Amino acid sequence: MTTLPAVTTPRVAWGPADELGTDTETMDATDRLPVVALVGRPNVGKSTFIARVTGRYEEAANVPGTTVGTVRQQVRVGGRDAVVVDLPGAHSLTDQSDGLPPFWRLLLEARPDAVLVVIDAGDLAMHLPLVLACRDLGLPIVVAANLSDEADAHGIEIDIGRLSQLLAAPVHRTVGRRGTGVHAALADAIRAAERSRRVPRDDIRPMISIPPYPSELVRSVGSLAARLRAGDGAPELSPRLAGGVAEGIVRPIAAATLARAALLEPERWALAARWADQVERRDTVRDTLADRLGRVVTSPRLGLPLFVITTVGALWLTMIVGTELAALLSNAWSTAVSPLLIGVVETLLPVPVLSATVLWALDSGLLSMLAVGIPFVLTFYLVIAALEDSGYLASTAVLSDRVFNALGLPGRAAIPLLAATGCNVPAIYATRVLQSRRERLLASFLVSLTPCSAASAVVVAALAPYAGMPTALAAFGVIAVVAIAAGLGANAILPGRQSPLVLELPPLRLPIPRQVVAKAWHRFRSFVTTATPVMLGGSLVIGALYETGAIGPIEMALAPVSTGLLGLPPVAGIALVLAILRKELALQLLLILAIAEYGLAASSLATFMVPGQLFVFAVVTGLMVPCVATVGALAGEFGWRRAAIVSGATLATALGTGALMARLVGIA
Amino acid sequence: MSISESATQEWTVATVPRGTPVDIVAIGTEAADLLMVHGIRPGARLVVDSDAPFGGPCIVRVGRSRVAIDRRLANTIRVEFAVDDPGAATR
Repeated sequence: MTTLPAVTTPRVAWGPADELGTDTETMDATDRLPVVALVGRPNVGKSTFIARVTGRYEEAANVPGTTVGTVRQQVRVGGRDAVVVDLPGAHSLTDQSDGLPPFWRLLLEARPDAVLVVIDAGDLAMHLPLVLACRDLGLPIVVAANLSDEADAHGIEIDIGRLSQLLAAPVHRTVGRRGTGVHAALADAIRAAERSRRVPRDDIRPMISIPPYPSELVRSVGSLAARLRAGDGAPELSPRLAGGVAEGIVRPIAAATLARAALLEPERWALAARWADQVERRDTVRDTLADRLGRVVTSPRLGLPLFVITTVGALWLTMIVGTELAALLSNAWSTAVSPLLIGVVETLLPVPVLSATVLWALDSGLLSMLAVGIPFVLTFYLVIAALEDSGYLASTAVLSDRVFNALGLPGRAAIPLLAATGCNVPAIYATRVLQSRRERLLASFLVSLTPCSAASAVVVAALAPYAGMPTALAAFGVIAVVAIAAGLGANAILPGRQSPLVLELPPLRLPIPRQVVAKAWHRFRSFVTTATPVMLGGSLVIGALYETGAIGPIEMALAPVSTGLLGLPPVAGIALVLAILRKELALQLLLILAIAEYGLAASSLATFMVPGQLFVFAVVTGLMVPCVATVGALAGEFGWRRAAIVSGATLATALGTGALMARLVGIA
Repeated sequence: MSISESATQEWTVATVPRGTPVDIVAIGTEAADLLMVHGIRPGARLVVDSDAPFGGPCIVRVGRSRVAIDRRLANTIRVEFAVDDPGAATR
């Protein structure tokens, strides 16, 4: 079901002063391919939709671990070339998350010639306001009434022709999952884009004489646009909007509708509700299995047990699969790659100190990426992506909201904190799901205190064999209590207040395996590119310190802290410091250094540390130090000053706890 | 609390009986914009579905969407019982 597009692109006229032709867009029409921007509310299936055309599951969505921004892709549909700009899901043009420009800026910066708005065919009242807002910007629009299959399943049918008439824009019925109507919709949008770029602005005459808003509002928007076009000052424009106009990114009519958004938006919603009534035909609205399941997972009685089962299950699955994968990869490395690497390096660098140092980086550095970083992080990403695509993750955010409120965080903070148990680096990026800088900083502090899989491995390996598994669990208990207390403290200290939760619960859907894999892979790639250089560099530094014997003086300098404060042997101090570079090496380093210092008799931790010392060592390692990669991620997200504050607070918390524990167990 | 009290009682999303269609009368200014983008605006109809544990957010149904709203915000959304066409409640 497709309606033919109007011959000329329909434009909305904002009153008599509206002269679209006076906009001077100097961009070269022949040079550039037509640009179609893809806009839609979150969870409307936009990424699935575009993947049908490009065959690539890139994501631009505002979801954990992803780069929030736009993805430009060149496509060829029906023999026409165009650039499709995929934008993150948005509820309105004025949507804004921390540290990012508002949505309208992302949209207009892409300089679209047309906008393809993807909406939910079964929920027009909710989705039409965004369509109207895009149209009000003065851009040609094409609408994809997506998720038509779900609408059918709910017994909702829409009159596409009538909707198209009301919107004065082509509307296509689509099912992104199956690809139905996707190409037709995009081809139509590309045609609209080509038209809007080919036809000089002067020739575009408004098709709809009056936008369907109250005339007073239309006049006010129209006159503001006219003033802007004439170059008159408009004090009602926000600095950002005025900047956009000055840069030529925001055309006068767009600036005027954005400036009046607070007045226009209620009208759009009211109009959407009226139009939805006219266009929708529903017999009896049916509840689907997904609807009922969706209610079960948030129900007070069943929701919590399900949440606990899912969380534990996800972590358990990550551990099981990760361990298998780690064994496989490290075996392959030490049998196939390592001997070869050692041979090559020793031949090329005949100086033993040099070759040994380089091998620290290349051999053991890469091995630890393979054995610790990759298996657990990749598995975790797969599990999270599946949960996310199923729509369940949003439910967990709602269930845990009250708990996280105590820490000054919304329930969504569960996502980065879960991720942190795998690796802190992606968890820091995942704090982007939070809205304010305050929440992100608080969450990042908790993330830094959360033992990653590498630190957890150290805690278990240091305690389980020598002091028993219950002691290891007790160490985790101490870490959890301290992290929560520190979180409470940070929430009390940090000025500002938590933003209240308003979160749409997406319907539960079966995840599409290909999309899950693509999403996990996409994030994994960015993890590998961030973490690998740090891992190599850190190993190189450790290697150099160790091989040149520079470690001795450092050890002496650290003695007041390691021995005086924490009651640990001096070697343990240096192991803790080097753990900043390679966390998972804390224990191995401790052994290696101990053997170097005390001789082969020290090949077991128990020979030079009593259980109490091991306990303190484990707790401090678990809490301490964001590793170099984490500090880097913090700096990238918040700047060096805040990264230093968060790292410092983490370090202080760890040392303070260690000192307290040392006194409690009687070793200092 | 019986429905017959509704004439004298001021209901909010946080207090209104669960599962009954209600119309929004007014929304506190603080979060009006935040709620508007989810279709929660004066005049709209909604059904409060359930509550998250430990006094967590209220989960409401607006049209076909479900939205979780912080309890404090939910308390600023004044509602009254819907009187007209009961079929509209499911929207």
